[in-house]
Amino acid sequence: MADSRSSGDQEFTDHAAAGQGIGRSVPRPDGADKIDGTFPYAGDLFLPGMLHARTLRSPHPRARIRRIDTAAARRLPGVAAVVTAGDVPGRATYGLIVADQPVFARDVVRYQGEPVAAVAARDARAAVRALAAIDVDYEPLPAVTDPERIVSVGGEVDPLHPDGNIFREIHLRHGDPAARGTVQVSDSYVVGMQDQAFLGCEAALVVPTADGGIDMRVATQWLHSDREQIAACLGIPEDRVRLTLAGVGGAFGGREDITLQIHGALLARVTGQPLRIRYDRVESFLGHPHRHPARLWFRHTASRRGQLVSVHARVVLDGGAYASSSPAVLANAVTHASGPYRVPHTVVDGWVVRTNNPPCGAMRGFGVPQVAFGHEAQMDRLADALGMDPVELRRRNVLEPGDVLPTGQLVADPLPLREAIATVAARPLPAPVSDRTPVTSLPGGRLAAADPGRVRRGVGYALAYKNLLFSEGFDDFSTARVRLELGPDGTPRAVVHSACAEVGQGFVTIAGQIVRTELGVDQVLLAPADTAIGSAGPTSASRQTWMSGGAVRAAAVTVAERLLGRAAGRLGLPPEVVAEPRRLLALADGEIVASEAGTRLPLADLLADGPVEAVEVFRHRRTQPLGPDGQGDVHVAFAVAAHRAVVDVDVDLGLVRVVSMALAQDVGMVLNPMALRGQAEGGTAQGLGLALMEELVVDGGVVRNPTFHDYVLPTIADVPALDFVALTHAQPGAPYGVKGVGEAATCSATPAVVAAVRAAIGRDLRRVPIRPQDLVLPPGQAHPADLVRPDAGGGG
Amino acid sequence: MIVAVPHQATDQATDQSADQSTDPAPPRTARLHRPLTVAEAVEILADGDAEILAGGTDLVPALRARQREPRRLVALRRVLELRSRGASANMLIIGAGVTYHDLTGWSLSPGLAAMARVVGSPQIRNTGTVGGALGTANPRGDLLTFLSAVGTEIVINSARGARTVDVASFLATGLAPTELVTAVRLPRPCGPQVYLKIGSRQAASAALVSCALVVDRVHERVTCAIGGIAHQPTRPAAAEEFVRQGVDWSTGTIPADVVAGFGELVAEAAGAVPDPLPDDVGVSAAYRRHAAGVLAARAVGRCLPAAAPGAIPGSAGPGSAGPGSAGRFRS
Amino acid sequence: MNNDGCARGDIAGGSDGDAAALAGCGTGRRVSYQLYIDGGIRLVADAWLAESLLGVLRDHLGVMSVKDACEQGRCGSCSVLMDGRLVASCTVLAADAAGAVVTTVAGLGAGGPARAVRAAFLAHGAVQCGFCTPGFVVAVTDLLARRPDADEDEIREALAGNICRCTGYGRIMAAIRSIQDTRR
Ligand SMILES: Cc1cc2nc3c(=O)[nH]c(=O)nc-3n(C[C@@H](O)[C@@H](O)[C@H](O)COP(=O)(O)OP(=O)(O)OC[C@H]3O[C@@H](n4cnc5c(N)ncnc54)[C@H](O)[C@@H]3O)c2cc1C
Ligand code: FES
Ligand code: FES
Repeated sequence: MADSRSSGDQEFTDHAAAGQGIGRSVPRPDGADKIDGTFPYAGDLFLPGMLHARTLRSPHPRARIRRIDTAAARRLPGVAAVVTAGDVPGRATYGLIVADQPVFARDVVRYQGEPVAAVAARDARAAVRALAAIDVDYEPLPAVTDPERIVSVGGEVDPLHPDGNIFREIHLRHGDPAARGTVQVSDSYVVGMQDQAFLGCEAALVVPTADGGIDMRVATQWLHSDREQIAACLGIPEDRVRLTLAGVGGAFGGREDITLQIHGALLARVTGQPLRIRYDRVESFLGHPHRHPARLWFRHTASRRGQLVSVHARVVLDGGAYASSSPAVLANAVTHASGPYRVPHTVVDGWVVRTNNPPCGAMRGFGVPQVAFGHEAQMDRLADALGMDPVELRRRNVLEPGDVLPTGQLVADPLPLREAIATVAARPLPAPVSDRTPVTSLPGGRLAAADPGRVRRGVGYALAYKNLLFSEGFDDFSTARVRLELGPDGTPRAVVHSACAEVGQGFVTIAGQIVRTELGVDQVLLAPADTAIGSAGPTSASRQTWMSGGAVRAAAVTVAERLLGRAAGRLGLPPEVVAEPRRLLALADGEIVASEAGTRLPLADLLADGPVEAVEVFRHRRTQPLGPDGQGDVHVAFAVAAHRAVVDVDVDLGLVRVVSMALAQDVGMVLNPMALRGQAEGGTAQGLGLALMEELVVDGGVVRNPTFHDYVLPTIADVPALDFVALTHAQPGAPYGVKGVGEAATCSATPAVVAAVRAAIGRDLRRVPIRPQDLVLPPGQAHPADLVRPDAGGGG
Repeated sequence: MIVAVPHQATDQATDQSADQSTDPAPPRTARLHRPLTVAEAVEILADGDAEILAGGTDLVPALRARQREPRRLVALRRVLELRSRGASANMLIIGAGVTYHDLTGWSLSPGLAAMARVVGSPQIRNTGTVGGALGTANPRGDLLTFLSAVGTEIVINSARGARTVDVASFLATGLAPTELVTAVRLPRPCGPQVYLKIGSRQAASAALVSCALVVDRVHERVTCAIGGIAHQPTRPAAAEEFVRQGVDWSTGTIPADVVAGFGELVAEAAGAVPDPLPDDVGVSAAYRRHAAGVLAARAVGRCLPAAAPGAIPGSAGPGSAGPGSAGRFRS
Repeated sequence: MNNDGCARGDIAGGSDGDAAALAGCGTGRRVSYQLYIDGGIRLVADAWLAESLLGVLRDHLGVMSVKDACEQGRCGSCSVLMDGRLVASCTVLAADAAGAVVTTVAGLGAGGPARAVRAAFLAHGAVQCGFCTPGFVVAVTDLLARRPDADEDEIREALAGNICRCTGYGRIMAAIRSIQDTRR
């Protein structure tokens, strides 16, 4: 199994008796409803007579609130309630890791778009009117928007928040900080702010309950974390806050934090009426945390033969006004800063700081895409300095099992880096531009401005690895219940219950495949994800297939065990067999088979005595917290991805077209080839977007483009077909040897596209997204010199 | 398949009171007129406080956001006379209700068709109209840039009658609120025409910079307009004159140094506009000036073969096949 | 002004026989009219005049398959056919759609090209979160009805008004290609 390789289109081994088990391209159970448009998303839900809730947001990135007058708004006809900071009965703040974000700003606002009040009214229009009638007297203060300034003054001057201005700093030291190779390259890099831009805007339907609690249907990534924060801020026990997952229109990290949940819950309790709260696109852009913008500096040194000797790096992430998941994002950025390479001597200094910019938190890749852009640009420049092929340089330096990471952690599991880069390098290349190339296939596409004579092709490679699951000693777990019962038609069926948030990634499909495989039943019913069962953890960190898949599998295995025990009893087998029935009995094709006697017992017969049920909690192996000097066994496991990008660039206009992308990704084992491909392609497209077009531009703390008009997303004309190869090496400790597949490809796609553009035009690129002027104007004119001081690299 | 939709008479008194109880400031827009003729439309406009609704691609999102709140809307969807396009001996006439989609396949004006093909997405091309483009007069509007290059007359109607202005004065002075654009009139092509556009992605993008260039073999001149530089399309007069003199009109060819010089002059003109657009979210003004020069040089190169001939693929104009083809467009 | 408006409303609304003109009189600015949607006549009662077709479909008529991701014409998730042409319903004034034939994903029909598109989207994994999907199904069905043999370039151009954030478009292209292949 270790070296088998499958193209994603190939069907993988079919473990299941039914054709719907793991390894198969099983279609989504919710697919037909989504296609017909009958699948209910959070924003589609309504109750007759419900109120409509809206949020009032600060127009200033930083201001003192002198006074909030809601009297006029309250008096408006149709307005049921107006709430502000003073109305929060419980804890005044919330947050994923530290509760530093006020439910409503009280005395100060710290970012443009910070919630100040919320209203509930008879209809949406009245709610909007009420917002306009709330009189907030702001005294604007100078916004602190340069993260470098915070780092340079040590964060203690002019604190923007009682918790201070530095969310976290990590100074990783590994090996000899003075060690240097003979060949050296160093430079600074800048990563712009990317947004998750999921299509279905934030929404929730909230119903107050008789016990003083609330029922909420909400589009989120983590029901239990939402519940804990809502309950704390409402000041009521968690069991009175009942959450059910509503249809989620994409997430990508943008729904890990609380946005409108507490506001909606509060208004429902105050009014005693059901209500819907929702965002439109502008509010969505202002309302959820984004990907951290980064300023990076690297110095790589290597021997003449191309062995990396040292990497010194400096990572500054702008966390914006509140913590969100900043501390964890920084740990990822720092520990992955030197990339998937064997580096004997590493020095990384990292900060994530508070500013008056929009809060940043989780987005697909979680700190790794930023540093991957930097370390891969450095590897290409090192290859140039050495006169070496960039693929060869990477092959020579990749990590292998037995190597030690900059954190001191030992690489124990398969890490097919060399295979990944070799695989993409060997894929066939697209045909070059010729006279027959239609102008629509040149850079700029349909817009037809490119001149084929001025188009240069570039090929670029990037390699990245990304940690899977939660790190730093977090005790992560997922809970699942599986019940085998007779359905209304008398045939056996399995009911699966998990609080795992299906956000589009396909857990609902995988869960069914697992249960079919383990229990051999055709019919699998998925109970709605809710807080009636224990936490499944968030849909992030590429963790749900492994963690919640693991929980579902464990529960199914226990159910099978109990069922076989029941069968053994029924067959009158001796007690030692009843205790360990697998010694003699097996579950196959919906029947219990006694291996020796050849007796067969239909499932339906056994279930006539009542259903068999099991709840299991799945945990991964424990990790350690990050110790001093950034050392420790902090990560559970890693996934690897290599991309090769081929681009055409119009060298006079700076127009770029991505001609082809090849990806080799380490996926553990393939549970659903079709769904896997979808994750690989979607992740690649988001990485391409960061490379070439996606940036939320923040100017003096003010977001300049919070709409789809000028936050530019890749269209189908921008994303070429992906030549995808899945590398399969079973992951120890994971169900079926699977690895999470959501993130690794996003990390390598951006640097590969940048590398290809660099190869095409022969100019070093220090910023993503790449803008046309960066490619054609003299460097000084294209963008101001990077604010990162190259000499600030810390360590000798 | 038109469904008759009877007007729903409502009780004014109860309607009124119900509204006032829930919304002290209901949206102003209270009335939609759907005239069948231009004459009816201008009569309604004459009463004032009305805004014209064509495809709605610009106006409807603005109404939703309450950026615009006219008291009345005058919809042109049913004014069939605005939907026609046609040609006389020397002129093309395009009704204000013609959509981009209607223009994309129009063989009488390949340049216009090329322009229309690169507007927005299919959804926008199916909906957006010529009149709407002029009404919005977005400085990056593709149609505006094209019409500025060819020299266009805008036909405007009001209750007081019709008037005609050239596109430059139209953009300078705008429309009175009681006026309606009914058509645009432009010369039939007398040579190749191209429209080149730079956007922020491969499709469905507004113009960051664009260039329309038109060769008139009859009058032996080249006209050009650049979009995305100033608050209206820029006509680089000195560059146009330079290229007019540089072309060998007997063969219809252009020396390479004239192409390059033209590009430089256009970039210069772009740098000298009195009212430059500021830096964009993603793209600097300096880049746009640079790109204007590159686009202009390419545009003229696509329209007129170099002294050493060689067809360049992708030219939208008929002239890329060589000088002979221009004859087809002589009237 | 009010009187004037009512007078005009009556004239425009009643006397031209078609009566598709609409009036909300006085300060009662809510209007009622009918739309022809997916083969049936639907009464829109008490809508604001300035509402988009998207808003009326969702908020007044409960047609939730038409999605609202940008309300600016930029994402295509609200795509419908209007008199047979693909439009973004958020850019259409609802009251001005009276008299037009509006087709949402539900009205594309159970058979024919729409059925093939639905089946292919499911079988090829073109759906993840699904928020873009109804709009894509309308756009793809429209494209294949008009241009069954569209080449890759044309397909990509024809669908550039529909944003999908999840799939990276690969499985959507695969679904379309499979439909074209089975037809051949
Ligand atoms: C997603 C999207 C993408 C776009 N992409 C592009 C692009 O790539 N290139 C481009 O150029 N444009 C683009 N646009 C702008 C596009 O909406 C306009 O170009 C279009 O032509 C407007 O026409 P309409 O019929 O929809 O106008 P409407 O929205 O109906 O009206 C626009 C304005 O013009 C007025 N008006 C309408 N008709 C007349 C008339 N006959 N006389 C006087 N005034 C009138 C209206 O009162 C209103 O003020 C885009 C718009 C959107 C929403
Ligand atoms: S909601 Fe209409 S195009 Fe986005
Ligand atoms: S499937 Fe989520 S946006 Fe397309």
